[in-house]
Amino acid sequence: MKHAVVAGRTGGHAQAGFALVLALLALLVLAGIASAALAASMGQLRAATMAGKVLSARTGARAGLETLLRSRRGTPQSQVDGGAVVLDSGTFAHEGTWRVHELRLASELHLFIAEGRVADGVVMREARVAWWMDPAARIRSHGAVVESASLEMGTAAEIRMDSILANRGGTSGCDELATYSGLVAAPHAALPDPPEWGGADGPPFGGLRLGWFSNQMLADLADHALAGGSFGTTSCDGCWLGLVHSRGDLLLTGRQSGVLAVHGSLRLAPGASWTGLVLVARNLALEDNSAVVGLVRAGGSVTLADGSVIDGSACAAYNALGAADSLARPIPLPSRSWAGPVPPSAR
Amino acid sequence: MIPRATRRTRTRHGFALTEAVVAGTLLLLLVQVGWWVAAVHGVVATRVVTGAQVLDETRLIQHVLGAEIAYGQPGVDWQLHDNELHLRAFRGVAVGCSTPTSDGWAVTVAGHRSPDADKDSVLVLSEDGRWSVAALARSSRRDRLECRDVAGFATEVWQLDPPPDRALLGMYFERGAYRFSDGAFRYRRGVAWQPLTGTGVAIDSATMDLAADGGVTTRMIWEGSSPIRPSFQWNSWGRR
Repeated sequence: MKHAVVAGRTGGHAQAGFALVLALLALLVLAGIASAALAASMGQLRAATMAGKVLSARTGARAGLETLLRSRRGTPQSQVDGGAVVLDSGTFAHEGTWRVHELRLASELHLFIAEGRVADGVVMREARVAWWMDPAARIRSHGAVVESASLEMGTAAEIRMDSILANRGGTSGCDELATYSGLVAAPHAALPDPPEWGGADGPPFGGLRLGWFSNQMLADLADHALAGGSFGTTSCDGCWLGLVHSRGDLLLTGRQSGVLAVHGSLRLAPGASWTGLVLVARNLALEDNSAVVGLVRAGGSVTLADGSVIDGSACAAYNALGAADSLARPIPLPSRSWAGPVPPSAR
Repeated sequence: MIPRATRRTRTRHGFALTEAVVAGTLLLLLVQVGWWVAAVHGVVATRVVTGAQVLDETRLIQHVLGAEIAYGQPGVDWQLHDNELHLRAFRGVAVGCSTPTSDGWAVTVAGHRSPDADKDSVLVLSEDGRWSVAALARSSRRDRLECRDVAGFATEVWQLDPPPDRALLGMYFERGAYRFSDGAFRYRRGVAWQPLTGTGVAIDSATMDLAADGGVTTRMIWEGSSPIRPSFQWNSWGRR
């Protein structure tokens, strides 16, 4: 028994030695594989983390732009050729921040540069050009009280030019317009070129437009969306209605004021009147003793019956635009709005 | 005591021979196992490294395609033709300054690289909201210009052909093309196709097609074995 134990121990030691060598070799090999896998996965992790942070920051910047375009209301306050101003800011995800700078390139064109950042990562930037209606610039685009393809006037009809910049009853001042020279220079003129009017900028602008607001946009933004028919008294007699849009031919029977956009023809019934801005895709007809106080733009003919009058008033049109809150918003420039690439910056 | 010792010695000799045979066999086995394990290690390590490289290069291609068509419009700024993506590769933006200059358009500029008159053109936004293209005839750095202060932007004076009318903003670009050929993803500006990746893409496996919603659908298969699936497909879109 003693010998067997001794022999067994001796043999056992020899096997353990081989096992140890085998185990060590296997461990070495496994360690090699593990270290290669670890190095590769660490590299992938670093690259993916960086890519993820950059993507998050860029997405945050884009989200900031989208938020601004969806929620910003009112008229622009910045100055043309002025410095960059921070227009809006916010947070996103975990430790993500965004802010949008505004550069006013022209009276109605703005460049929004959004910055997005996650924690202490890279500041990614996205830029977008927006069109933001400026009432004064809209009025400045009118070269006459009536702009249309043709004009037909009855014997006692009249287009007045004598108080184009005068304040009317119920309207606030329009001193801003006084600084513009050459404003509304004639009683009648041909239609202006795109992008003020006409469809050269694509199908959405074919029939009716207000700057870069297409007919569909005007319909979507309207305070009073009409299918056509007649439009008379409202609960808002004597006040600014904002934007009134009609998808078809319209007969106006009451005395209203605001911005009136008709995707069809417009007829003013005897005694009816509209104060503000009138945009008509086709023909405009003023029946006896009806009146428009403001500015008119019509794609077809404008016909004034006996006793009707178009009293040219830039102030009325200006105030109507100013009161149309739904139009006071930036929209991405329809033709091409993304500008870039803008490289990352150090904040 | 003595006879016991003699028997023990004989026994040890016998065991020594058996042990030698067993040890030799085990050694051979050990060498074989070691060789096999080393080979497996080599294969596995190669697969791991290849997989990492496949991921890196796929990520690179995704990034490049996504970034290059980001600011372009399909049909206008980029087209797919014979499995090649031809495009205006936008490299940066320029914002007009208020300073009037007699020798060109004063701008403040930032981009992935500086404008280069030898290869760049400019997409110019005018005051009426229209975009037009002009060649960049000359660009020069100018320090004392009254420009808007935007982080990372530098002031320059550009001469454009034709000169812009009431220009507000510019996006400068070079004309280039991308394709898969000879196993690599390549870019061409001018004549030669420069490889941007290794040559591990399976021949004739990579395609670029127009996606239904105006993007680019890329499909590709990598050669060689790796622990990850070698085929990839993704869509890249411009800003919408």
